[in-house]
Amino acid sequence: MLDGALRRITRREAIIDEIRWVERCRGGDETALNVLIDRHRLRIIRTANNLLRDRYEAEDVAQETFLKAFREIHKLRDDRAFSGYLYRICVRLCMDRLRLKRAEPSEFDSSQEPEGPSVENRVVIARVLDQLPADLRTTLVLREMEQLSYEEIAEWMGVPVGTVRSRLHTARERFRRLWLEAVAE
Amino acid sequence: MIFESQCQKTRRLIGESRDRELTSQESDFLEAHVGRCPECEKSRSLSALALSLLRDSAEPLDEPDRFKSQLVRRWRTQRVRGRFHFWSPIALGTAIGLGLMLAALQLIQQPLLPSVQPSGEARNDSSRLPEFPEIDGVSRTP
Repeated sequence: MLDGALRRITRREAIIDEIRWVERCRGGDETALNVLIDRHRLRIIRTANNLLRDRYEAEDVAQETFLKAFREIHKLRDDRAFSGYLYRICVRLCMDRLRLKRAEPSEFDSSQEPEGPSVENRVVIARVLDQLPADLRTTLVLREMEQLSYEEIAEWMGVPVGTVRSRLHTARERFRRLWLEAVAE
Repeated sequence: MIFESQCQKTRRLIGESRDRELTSQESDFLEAHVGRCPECEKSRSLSALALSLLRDSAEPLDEPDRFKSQLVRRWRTQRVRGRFHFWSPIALGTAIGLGLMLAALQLIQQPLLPSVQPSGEARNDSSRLPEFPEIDGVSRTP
């Protein structure tokens, strides 16, 4: 119980601290900018990498995310919502790229031979994910890999919770079917 | 038809069991159905395997090189550009000032250049024209 209370206090302090940095960043303070980048960059890059399956593209999207967030920071009404705002931008940018990729399907590079079971697994999973539409893919990755709750996914993707639930169901079913087909090949 | 809808419900519960704890009623239904439906049983085990492989497929991330320095540089550039939008009064004022200065320079420089006289004035400048002999006291100057 004491542990829980302590955790709540720490979390509250962290939120207050973040609000202070966001305020300073809005005023153009570079130190605040550095602090906010340090706090969020690894998670943003990881999320983008899980969604896009491309390390370099993920870093590029992460940079775009921060730049857009800082450029439009004056639009943020509640400073407590900064992290949600940041991840929402990241998810939307990733979805835009995924839609573009699906519109221009790239040839699978067969010269990249799998080097082991985990690499082989990654290749198969990436190929299966490529066949899913952007919204299903994003929902699935955010739930299964990022372990987000339905509410968080709904907030990040800007859709109702019911839509997340139904998309997740469809995404899991389709993913299983496509994965079976890919493994059978 | 009834069996098919039961299969659909089972598939939904298989998925939801990953996100929340099923009620005892739901759990009983799922186990009973999976026990007598080999397709759904297969679906449950394959779903679990496929999704665990998806989870394992996350690549380990190391600290990106120069990410922060690059980002801060881009942010500085963005700030500078943001200050000098083309509609900025300073930029507009500077542009108008420069334009006026250029126009003034043109006007000042014009008399200094070797003049190409306008046709009317050239006609009046009789000193440069060849002289013709006078016939009967009348000048034949054109």
